Amino acid sequence: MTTEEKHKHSLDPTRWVKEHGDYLFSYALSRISKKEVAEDLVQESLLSAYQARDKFRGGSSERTWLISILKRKVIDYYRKQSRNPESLTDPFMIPFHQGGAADGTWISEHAPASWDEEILQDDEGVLMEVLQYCISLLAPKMAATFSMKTLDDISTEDICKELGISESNLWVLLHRARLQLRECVENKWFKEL
Amino acid sequence: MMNEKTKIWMNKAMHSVMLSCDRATFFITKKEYVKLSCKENLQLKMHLMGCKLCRSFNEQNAILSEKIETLKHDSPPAELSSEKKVEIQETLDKTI
Repeated sequence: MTTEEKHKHSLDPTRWVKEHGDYLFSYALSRISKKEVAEDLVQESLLSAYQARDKFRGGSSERTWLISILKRKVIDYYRKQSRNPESLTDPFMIPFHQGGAADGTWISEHAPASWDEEILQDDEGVLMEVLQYCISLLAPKMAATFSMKTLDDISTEDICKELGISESNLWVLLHRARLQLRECVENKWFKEL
Repeated sequence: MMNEKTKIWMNKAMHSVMLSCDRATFFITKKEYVKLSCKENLQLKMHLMGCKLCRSFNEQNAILSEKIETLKHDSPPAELSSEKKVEIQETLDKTI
């Protein structure tokens, strides 16, 4: 055996669930927010990984390899979700006046309130939970665009290709996602404490 | 006193420079991902000078971006239920 071969990583499918199950599930849940879907994606990923085990070259660790397969599954899930005809009519409450003299200005009950500095510093953990919860409420197409662009740093071009949307559409979806997230965090975190 | 023509011209000029809050928050979102053009940047700065609500949106959006950055690198630890682990293991065993 050469030195190079000795340093290569190997696979042990019998230990995947035990050793990487929770890690893979945490990743999936951080991207999908729906427990059952996240579980199923982990299962599908491990089965696909097993079927593709001959393609593993050992250049990366077993875990990195499994995560790369799961990432692909997550993107496939986003794609399916956002191509669902229902997502064409995703409800979205625009927080601005439409038409008239006040066109494009904030509707007062949806406008940003000031966020309490003290709460901000003391309850960071809670804020993270609220944020994740609010991300899970985004409509499928918005969620997919937002996660791919913000959490996975996928290029605009690739996102548009995967989701079948135009670039201007992508920016509109990101804008809406941010408007909705901000308002959701404010309502769930500052006002309900 | 301004004559009518000057007024119309001024109005047009204002509209080409001034953003609505809707448009301003669009640019605020966009700048979290890409660099704005000089014109967009200038328009946004001018809007923010006069609009407290959009200044709040700008600050809060930056806070959210910072938190999302944390979320990106450390997925909060979660555990796969033991039932699901057994199920996945059994499915894998069948294949192996």
